[in-house]
Amino acid sequence: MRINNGVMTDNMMRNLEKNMERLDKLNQQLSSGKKFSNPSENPIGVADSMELSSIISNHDQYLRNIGEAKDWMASTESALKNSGKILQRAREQAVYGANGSLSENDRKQIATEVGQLKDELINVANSKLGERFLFAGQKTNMDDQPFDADGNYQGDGRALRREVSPGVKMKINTDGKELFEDAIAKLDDLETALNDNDQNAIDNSIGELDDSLNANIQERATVGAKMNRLDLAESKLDEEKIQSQELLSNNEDVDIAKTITDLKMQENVYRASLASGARIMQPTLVDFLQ
Amino acid sequence: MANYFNTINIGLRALQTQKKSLDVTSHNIANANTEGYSRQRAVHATTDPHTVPGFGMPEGAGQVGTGVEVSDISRIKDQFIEGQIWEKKQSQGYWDRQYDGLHRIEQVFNEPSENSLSSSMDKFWQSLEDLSNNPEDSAVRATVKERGNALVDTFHSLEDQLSDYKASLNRDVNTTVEEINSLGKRIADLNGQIAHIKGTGNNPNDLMDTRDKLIEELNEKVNVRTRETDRGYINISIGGMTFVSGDKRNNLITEMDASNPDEEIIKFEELDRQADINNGELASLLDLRGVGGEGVLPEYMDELDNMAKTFAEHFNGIHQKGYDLNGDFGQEFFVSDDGGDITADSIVVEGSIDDDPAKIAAGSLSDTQDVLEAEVSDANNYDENEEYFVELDKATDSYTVIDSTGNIIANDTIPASKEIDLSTEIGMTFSVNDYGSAVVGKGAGSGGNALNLANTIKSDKLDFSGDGNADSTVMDKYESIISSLGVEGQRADQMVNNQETLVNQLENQRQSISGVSLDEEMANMVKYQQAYNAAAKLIRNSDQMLDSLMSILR
Repeated sequence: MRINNGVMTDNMMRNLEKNMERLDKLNQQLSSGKKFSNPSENPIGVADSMELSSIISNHDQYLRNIGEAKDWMASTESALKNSGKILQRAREQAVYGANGSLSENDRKQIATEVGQLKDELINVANSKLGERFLFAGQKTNMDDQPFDADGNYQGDGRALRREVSPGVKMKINTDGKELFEDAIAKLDDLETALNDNDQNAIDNSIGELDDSLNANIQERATVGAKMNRLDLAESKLDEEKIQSQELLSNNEDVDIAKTITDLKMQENVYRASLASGARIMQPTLVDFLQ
Repeated sequence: MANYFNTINIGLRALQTQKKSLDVTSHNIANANTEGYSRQRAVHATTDPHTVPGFGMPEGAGQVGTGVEVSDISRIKDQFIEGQIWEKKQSQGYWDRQYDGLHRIEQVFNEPSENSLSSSMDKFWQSLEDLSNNPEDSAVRATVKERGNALVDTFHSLEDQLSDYKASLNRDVNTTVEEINSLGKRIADLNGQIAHIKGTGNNPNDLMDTRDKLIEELNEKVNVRTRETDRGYINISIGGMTFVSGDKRNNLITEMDASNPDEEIIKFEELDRQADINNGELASLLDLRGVGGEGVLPEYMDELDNMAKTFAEHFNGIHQKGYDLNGDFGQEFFVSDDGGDITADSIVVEGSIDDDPAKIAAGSLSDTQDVLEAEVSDANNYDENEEYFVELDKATDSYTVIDSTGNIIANDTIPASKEIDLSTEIGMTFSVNDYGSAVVGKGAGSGGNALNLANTIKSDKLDFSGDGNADSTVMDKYESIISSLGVEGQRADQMVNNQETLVNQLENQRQSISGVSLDEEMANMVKYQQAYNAAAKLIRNSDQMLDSLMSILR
């Protein structure tokens, strides 16, 4: 091949341009922190990034759903704890009231306290989390309260569910009708029995209150177990989220140390090509003919 | 008998020849950096000797020559390599443009980024999940509405930008056709001049270089074929039809296609026939813009429309199965603002929902959708205030439906289709997902349908291809659009690099053959200069010889 000045400058310019391109690419990677910014630079990488970002946003959302569910269940649990205390107190009153040595008047006094306990229980059964009734089923924002003054249930007893991980829905609410309507009725019975000074009925109430207490404890156990499950799901999601973030970072984030090294190397190549260019461009025969 | 004047004549010719050669050398040096210039060479040849010896001619040793002349100033050029460069330039022009176009479309879609369709989709999904947590919260409902609007806006903005790009491609087609016409005109003019000069027996080297350069530019723009005639014309055809013939050019014009609005077509003005454009920048522009609705841009616009339509229709279907905060069944959530089909351009959030987010149908009839989904099938028999308890017994594979007062509405085995039709009894149909029990009716706190709506984005498989197979989620579909855009862009990038390498190699070869070497020219300069000096001495010698002869006569 006949090499002349044109060939040499053309080649040098082309190579310089290529070196500049590589420098620019590395520079871009370093300044953006990303290995690629357009799908065409790495179609599979971009698709993976989109997928992983979507998965991370899933995790964020499920973690928020779990947070909501946990708030709800914590409120439920404290309501159940209070209602348990009320029932316990009522039982104590019933045992006290069953004492044969009490007068009719004494029993009437106890009846007043039991009446108070009943109202308190209705209050607890009407508990809210924010603006929403805990025990109204899906009628969470009903105008009246789920339990009226006589303890009649007006909610719908339907389940509330939250999606706590992909495809997994958990019922978060407790059926108020089952748990409270019965218990309120029993307190009502006890109040009447005390007022009527009916010792047999008072004795019966003790057993019935025990049933209600058991039901209460059982429900608290269920809520507790569910909260444990939510904690587990939460930590699992947290872990998965970190993994996905790692994967995303591996997929698209620049390895700074490596890229800086590459950049330095490329810079050297560029300098060398400039230096050699400067050498070959200058001398021609012109320089030596006087 | 030797002629004294012959020596002087030889010297004179030599002087002229070396001088002319020096001129060629200086022309080369002067044009060392002129683009498209091919080095020239003065071809030296001996002039004709005196005629053969005969009776009139004295006997002597051989023939004495008469000196030197420049027989030809030739252009050092390999026309075969030139032809190859021209051909490769067509593909290079094509792929350069394809890459630019695909890159532009990539920038429109702007993936991956925070302001893209996928992130709008994702935010809409998040708001629907939040709605399922707080279906009675008006702030959350307003968020769903706004995220829905943001999604719709993203569709519009993509569609607008792609349409704008299409319009700008049409403008580019016009400009490119004008450039092609102008190149054709200049080539035809040069053809005329070159043929004229060649007719006089000269070599119009510089004009030919200019013409080659113009033809190279023309090749970048469009698929042309060239043929050189004996007279020195280069005739050019585009897609089999004559574009430049001798010093005449057939004009190309553009006009809007009657059957495909928004598409400029290219015609030969005089022939009134459409030109067959299949390579070069122009073909690339046409492929990007689309011909008869087929091409890169129409493909992505169709994909986007299809995605908007398929997704919106599916979303609407789910929305209509749920009920809103007022207990009314959902309407269509997305509608078309022009009354036609939903497209990326026409999709909007339905007006009454936009005005009143309470109309977002977050509630679902069944409170346990894992077990049972319920749908109103006959509004006449449906009592919206009633609630039903549905029990699905695994042991007997049967179902029982009880109303709120305890009446048994139905009790039977679950059909194989898993669809329980109670249209006549209570105006509803149930589809069974699992065994267990569910309450069917309405409650404000139900976010069941909001979850179903959220699922339309990340879980539900839809039928985008229209082949009856629901095979990908809307997010997957969108990802596949983006990755096919990426793959096409990557391929174009590779093609650009390949073409560049090929063209570079050929250009290197051309430069190697036709490029001016300053060393060579300097050496030639010294060579010609010395020959010139020697010839001058020759003339002086002859002069002295003549002087000596003449002095005899004094």
